[in-house]
Amino acid sequence: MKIEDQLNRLSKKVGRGKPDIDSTFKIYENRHPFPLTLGKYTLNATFQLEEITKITLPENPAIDIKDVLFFDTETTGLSSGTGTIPFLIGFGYFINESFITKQFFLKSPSAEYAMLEEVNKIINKYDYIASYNGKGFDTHILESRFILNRISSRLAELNHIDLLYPCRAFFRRYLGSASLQNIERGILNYTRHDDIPGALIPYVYFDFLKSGNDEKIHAVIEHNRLDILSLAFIIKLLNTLMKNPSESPHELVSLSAANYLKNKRISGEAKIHFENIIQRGNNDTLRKEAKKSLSMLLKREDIHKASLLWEEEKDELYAIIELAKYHEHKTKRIDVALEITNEGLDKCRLMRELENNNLKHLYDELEKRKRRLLRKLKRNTKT
Amino acid sequence: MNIDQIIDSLKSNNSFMKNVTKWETVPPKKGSYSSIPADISDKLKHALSESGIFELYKHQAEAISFVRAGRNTVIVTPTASGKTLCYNIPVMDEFIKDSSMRALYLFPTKALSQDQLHELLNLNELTGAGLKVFTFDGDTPVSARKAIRNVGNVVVTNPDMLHQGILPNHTKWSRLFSNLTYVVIDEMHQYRGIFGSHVANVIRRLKRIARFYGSDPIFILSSATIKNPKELAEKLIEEEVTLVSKNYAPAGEKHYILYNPPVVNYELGIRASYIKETMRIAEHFIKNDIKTIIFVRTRTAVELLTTYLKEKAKKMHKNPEIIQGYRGGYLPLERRNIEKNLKEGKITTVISTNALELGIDIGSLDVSITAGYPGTISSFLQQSGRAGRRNSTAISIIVASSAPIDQFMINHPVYFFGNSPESGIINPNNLIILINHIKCAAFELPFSDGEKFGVDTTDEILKYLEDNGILHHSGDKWHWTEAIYPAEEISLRSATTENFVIVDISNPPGKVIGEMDYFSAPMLLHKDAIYIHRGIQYHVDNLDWERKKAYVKRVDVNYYTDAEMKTSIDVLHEDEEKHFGFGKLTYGDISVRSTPTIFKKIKLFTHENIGWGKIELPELEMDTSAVWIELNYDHKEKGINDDDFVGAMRGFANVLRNIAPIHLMCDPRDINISTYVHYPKTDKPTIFIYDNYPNGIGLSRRLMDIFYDILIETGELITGCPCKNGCPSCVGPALDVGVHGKENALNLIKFILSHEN
Repeated sequence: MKIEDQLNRLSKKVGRGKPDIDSTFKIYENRHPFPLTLGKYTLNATFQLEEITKITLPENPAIDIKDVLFFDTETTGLSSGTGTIPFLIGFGYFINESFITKQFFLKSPSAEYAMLEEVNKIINKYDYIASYNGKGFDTHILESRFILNRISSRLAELNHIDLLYPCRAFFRRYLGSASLQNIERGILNYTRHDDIPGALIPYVYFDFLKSGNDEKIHAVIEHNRLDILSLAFIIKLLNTLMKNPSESPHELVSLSAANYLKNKRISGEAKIHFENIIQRGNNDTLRKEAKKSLSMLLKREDIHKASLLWEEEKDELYAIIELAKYHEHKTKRIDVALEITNEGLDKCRLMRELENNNLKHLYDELEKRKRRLLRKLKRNTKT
Repeated sequence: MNIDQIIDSLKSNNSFMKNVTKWETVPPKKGSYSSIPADISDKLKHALSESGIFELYKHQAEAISFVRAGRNTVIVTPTASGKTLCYNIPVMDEFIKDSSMRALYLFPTKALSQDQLHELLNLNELTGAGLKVFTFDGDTPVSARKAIRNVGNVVVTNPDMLHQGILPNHTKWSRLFSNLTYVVIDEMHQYRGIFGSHVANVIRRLKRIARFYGSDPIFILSSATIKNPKELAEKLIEEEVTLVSKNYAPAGEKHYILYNPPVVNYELGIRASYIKETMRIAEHFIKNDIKTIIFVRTRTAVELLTTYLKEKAKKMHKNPEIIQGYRGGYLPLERRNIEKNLKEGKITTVISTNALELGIDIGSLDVSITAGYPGTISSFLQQSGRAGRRNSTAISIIVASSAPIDQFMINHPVYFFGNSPESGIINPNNLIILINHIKCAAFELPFSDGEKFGVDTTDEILKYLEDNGILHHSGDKWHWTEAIYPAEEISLRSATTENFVIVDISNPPGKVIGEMDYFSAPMLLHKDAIYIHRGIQYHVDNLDWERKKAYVKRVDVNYYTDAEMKTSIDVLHEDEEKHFGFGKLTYGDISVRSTPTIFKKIKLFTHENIGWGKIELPELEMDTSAVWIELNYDHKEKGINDDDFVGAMRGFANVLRNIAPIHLMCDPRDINISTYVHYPKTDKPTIFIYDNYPNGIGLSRRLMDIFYDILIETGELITGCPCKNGCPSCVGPALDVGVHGKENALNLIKFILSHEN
């Protein structure tokens, strides 16, 4: 059988007529002058990168916000394979007291080369880019497109501020998921209206290619514009939260931020956050968690201050162990250390039935400490 | 006794010799050598001499010179004839000259690649050239992948990973593709049938991507002995390939013994168990500490034989630890350990599944015993290749089971020692397979107008894909417009993506024990079927047709089930006809519509029918290619009644089904046969033999050319069988084909053979 006939047997579908779409790309440019507001935050002429670079660009924290290119793409799929096309590439940048968004829409895949050349011209002007998950997704897709179109690009060499990672660290515990829109809704107090669900976006584009009808495409372009706009506000938000924990909508955000900052060894800000939670003290569990983390941070810097926290938390096993260590090694009050160790052992015995292996480990550790302390005591009394 | 003494004792052992259908002695052979090519880099020459190689076998030198002259080359020589050096030398040499060189090594399975790498790594170390070799497969940690992509000179992988992981992400592999000099395809004969048809398309995609990056790699293929290595290689890579097939490696004296267990019941044609016979034969070698490997077909048989032989060893006052099983699922470390102990003589007998016949470094042994024909001759030759040393005598024994194919092969020794009848057959242009790979290719790189992928009519297929919304034509290119990743949904190992998953729910929540293709499921996995998997019986509790799942539970019952299928065949197109005195042979496309109707419960061993049930499943339709035999044969004239003639046709079909795969190098399940006493359109007795895959994979086409050869062999199988009225080893039991089934089937064949003109 001829292939034609076989194909006909495979499907009785008749080919549809194809619409005329001009094979170009289109640029959508919008100027957003200061002051610029989204939800409860406002950007104005003083807006800068400030604190956030300590986390995202620790090697070069003093850069100007005007040197950063914001970007986000809309693609025909979520796999990073070579068949995924970024049909909408959006940029944002600050210039002359306003935020400009410039979006490149691929009206026809055949115009990709021409479009990428223009896109590359913009990328070439910058050394810094900011995105939301651009490291994991958008840059891979774009690099792949550059290779496929044989365009050489600096994209991979740019310094990348990917806001997904700090946002995840700050907000996931509180919001459940750190998606851009969750943050807008839950933290920025901004709700999008008539926004198109991300999962539908590829199909809107496929439909556009088939029908030429661009009605729904506008919703995608608007979605992308808001995504880029959000990026700037998220920087504002993170800066504000880092400097001023009282701005935090909930202790969970503060605590997450504090832990993250502590891990990043940005201890000044971390301490402020921990103390804020302890002082606010609406939530006992979080306060205890904050005390524990703060005490471990202080342990490195000012162990005496840390010991005050442990005294406050003496019903917690970790605090008992830390205190025992503190008195054994720092204050050298072996008798006090022994007394605390015994308290710890009693506590373990009480908890024993309820808890698990981890407790066994701590118990053994305490036992060992006790034996050592007893030896030390004996030696001390002899001399 | 040493091995030569054992040979003498076996020869004088009547109870052994009466079951030997053939004893072939191949005299020792000296090797022929060539010097290492002068223009190979000194570093590499030095490394070769460090590892004890001062000259090459002639076939190695020949292959290497072809490859270095830029010719695609396929090397077809036996086990242990130094095939890997044929590609490792050119690769290593090229790297020393140009360190940007990249090569891709493809092995059919994951386990193989590990063992084969050893030699290359060793060579690399000795040269100190710093070649970077990495395995890239499903087990490669994500964190290591980037480094492999960027710096790996030799990337060792399998076709599945190339298909799903590498090609769709080729931009990440741009360094590999830009500098791709060699592609090595080892164990080429594994790429046949469905798998081979897929792999040929993966290679089309590979070449397409390589072209995009401006490279044009040389292919080096290696294969076990088959009838058509050059043809298969050329079909796989669609380029001219030079064949190197003469083996110049030295070998000691080799004895091949074909052993057929004695018939214990003439009425039913039942033979003594081949497993038990294998045990008995193995005892001779265990007693004398002769290093022996035994290949069996299932893991269960490995365990069974191991246990039994350990007992025997104890009775011989030997340490039972000299007997070890060696099968898939053992960890690499356990395997290394067994290999080491074998070399050191702490183990003398290894019992292995045939899955491990390839590429294991267990050194050379004295004796191989193959229990049951392993399905293909090339597979047998690879197993027997395990026994043999340069300077001493070796023995390879094959013990036949009572399966028809075993019975045929054991009586046709010429196939073991003469030319292989086995052709590796593929059909890369099977429309369904082709379309799937055109999709993958379009995802990887947009097609240009006029671009050819396998067939001249590529544009038509692209248009078809556009009509279905999968591609979008714009400018002069076809762009991928689906949100999915096509390679993810396409398995290289099956014809359709719609496989049934078999879930064992004996222990909740259940576990997946296997898969079955769409067209076999209704026959074998219908509700209340007894499904046998690895020798264990399962009852099918439910077949969820929509979700493609069969739920089974372990049972132990004394029957099996046999489904009856109502099949109707329509001829769609006739491509080729041959006219004979007996009638007509046609090749073309058919549509097979089949509905399972009922199933019978058949008692084990006695084959009594002990009940039946209805099967309610939808009709299946499959278009495929077929050969059909139309007979000018009036059975009534010959005094055969209708019932007997149905039996004769069925018996003929049963034998055909077993003989054809020997030539087509396929599993008996890959083809199907339907017989008509009166085919509705022509009213003539007609036998359809068709590819059991949608759109065909080229198997039945080959039958047009070898029809008479196969027919002669069907006749020989029936006449050679000692049973009286038919048995499962030939036409099938009398219960199935009637009391005169054997005789009538034979007469039918004789009729065809005597009426060629």
